[in-house]
Parts: sequence; structure tokens; C-alpha cells
Amino acid sequence: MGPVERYLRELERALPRTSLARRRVLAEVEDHLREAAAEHGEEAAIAAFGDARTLGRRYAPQAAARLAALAVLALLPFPMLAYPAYENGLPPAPWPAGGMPSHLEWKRDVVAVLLLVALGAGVAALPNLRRGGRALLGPLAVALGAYGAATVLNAVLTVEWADAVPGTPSWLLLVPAAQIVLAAVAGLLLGRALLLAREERTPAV
Amino acid sequence: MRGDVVKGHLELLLLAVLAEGPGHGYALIERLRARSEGAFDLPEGTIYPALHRLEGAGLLESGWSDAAARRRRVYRLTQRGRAALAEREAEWRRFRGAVDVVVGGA
Repeated sequence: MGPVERYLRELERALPRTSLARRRVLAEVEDHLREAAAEHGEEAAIAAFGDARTLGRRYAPQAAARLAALAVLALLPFPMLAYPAYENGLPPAPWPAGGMPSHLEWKRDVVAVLLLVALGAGVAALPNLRRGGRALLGPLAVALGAYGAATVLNAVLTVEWADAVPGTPSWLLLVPAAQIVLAAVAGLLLGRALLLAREERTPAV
Repeated sequence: MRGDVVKGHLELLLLAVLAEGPGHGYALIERLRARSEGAFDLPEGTIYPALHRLEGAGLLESGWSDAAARRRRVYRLTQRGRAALAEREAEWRRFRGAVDVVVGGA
């Protein structure tokens, strides 16, 4: 294996595994090194190109942003998927139609609004999946913030509902609990992406 | 010139050399070196993350070209890229003017 092949293997190991552009980056770097090597020799070409690990790390912010985007966007359909569990799991309410107690009704309405905000922000993030940076992370932060608030309020609502409606199964609490755990994981990924984006902005390379 | 000084303006430099015409990574580095008369001599690999960021921001577009012996990725400015270049050039001139005033025009 020659110096250029060794360099490319090192770069391949250094590139984030979640980077969509891995193959393209490796192809472009190989083309560059071969052209430079034809003029100056392989060792000189590699020395002029720079450290493979340092270069690989420069792609970490983009990969982290995309991973965070996938995590947040994957959360958003969860309430729709969980809705049948509520619909089928809840016993009939003891109040007449339209007579929901106010302390439950406002929470239900606020959860719905927050989920709509989260969905809207998630849709706004989609065109920026390629672009990354603040254009992507900003809407994702709004989506996750709204989703997180909806999830916490939904957990409170589920507990209060269980108090108000006899026979409500306790397993129903697993639904908001699962949402909170998934939102926390997405939050960690988004936090990491935001930190890497800030570090990337400090030098503009 | 110190690499960290160049780093802060790499995107502007790349937009400026691409204003001359499309080019692939190695050609852009050579253009930059030539136009700066050797003053800008940074690790060549650093241009690729910058090129990909600029492309992600819609300021560049690229495609594979089979014109040379090897398949290579050629970059060109988009309309938005030309507008961004003009804006950043104006910003740079303001910055340079202000620095000149502070350091006494040296």
C-alpha cells in the first residue's frame, strides 16, 4: 500500500460514520493527492495536504447536525402513532361530550398547539438538511423545545386524566415516559450539534 | 502568512478565486497560491470542508467531470454565490479600512 492509499485509509477512519459525503470526500481527496503527487511526489503531496485526522474532524459538525435532525424529525410523528394507544386504552370519560373538566381541557389544547408548532418547525428545517449550520439547527431547536414542552405537559395531563377517569390503565403512563426519554436523547444529540457548530464558527474553516 | 490568519477568510478567498471560473479543488488551491504570490500557503485539505460548506449554503454548485484522465469534482459559483462574494468583499474592504486607521495605515 503506497503513501496515498495509507492516507486515504486514515482519512476514512477519521471521517464521521454518519457523514453523508464520506465517499465523495474520499474521491475528491484521492483525485487531489494523485494530481499533486504527479507534480511533487506522494510524500510531498501528503505533507502539503495536511493531517488526515484533523481534516476528518472538520466534517464532524455537519454529520452531528444531520444526526440531530434525524433524531428530532423521527420524534415528531410519535404522538400520531401513540394516539391509538390512548383511543383504545382509555375507558369512557364520566363527563358528557363537551364537558371535559377545564383543568384537563386547557392542557389538551396547549399540547395540541405545541405539537403543531413542533411539526411546523420540523417542516421548516427540512430544506436546510443539506445546508446545516444555524439554518438547520435553529428550527430543530424550536421543534424540539415545543415537542419537549408538549411531552411534559402531556405527562401531567395523563396523570390527571388517570385521577379523573376511573379504570384508566397505569401502562398508559409509559407513553409520555417513552416520549420524554426519546426527547432527551434527541436533546443530547442536538446539544452536541450546537456545540460543534459554535466551535466551527470560531475559525471559519 | 500565519495559517490562523488565512483561516478566518478562507470562504471569501475561495469565492473570489471561483469568480474567475469553475475549478476543482487542486486547481483552486493553485489559483489561490498564484494570485496571492505564495502568501497564502495553508494545508491544502482545508479547502474541502470550506467548499462543501459553501455548497451546502447554496453559494456554490458542483458536479463530477470526466474531462480529465481522472473523474473530478468541479465547483462553480451560483447566482447567490456571486451576491455573497460582493457582500463579503464590501465587508472586507470596510474591515481593512478600519484596521488601517487603527494601525496608522502601515
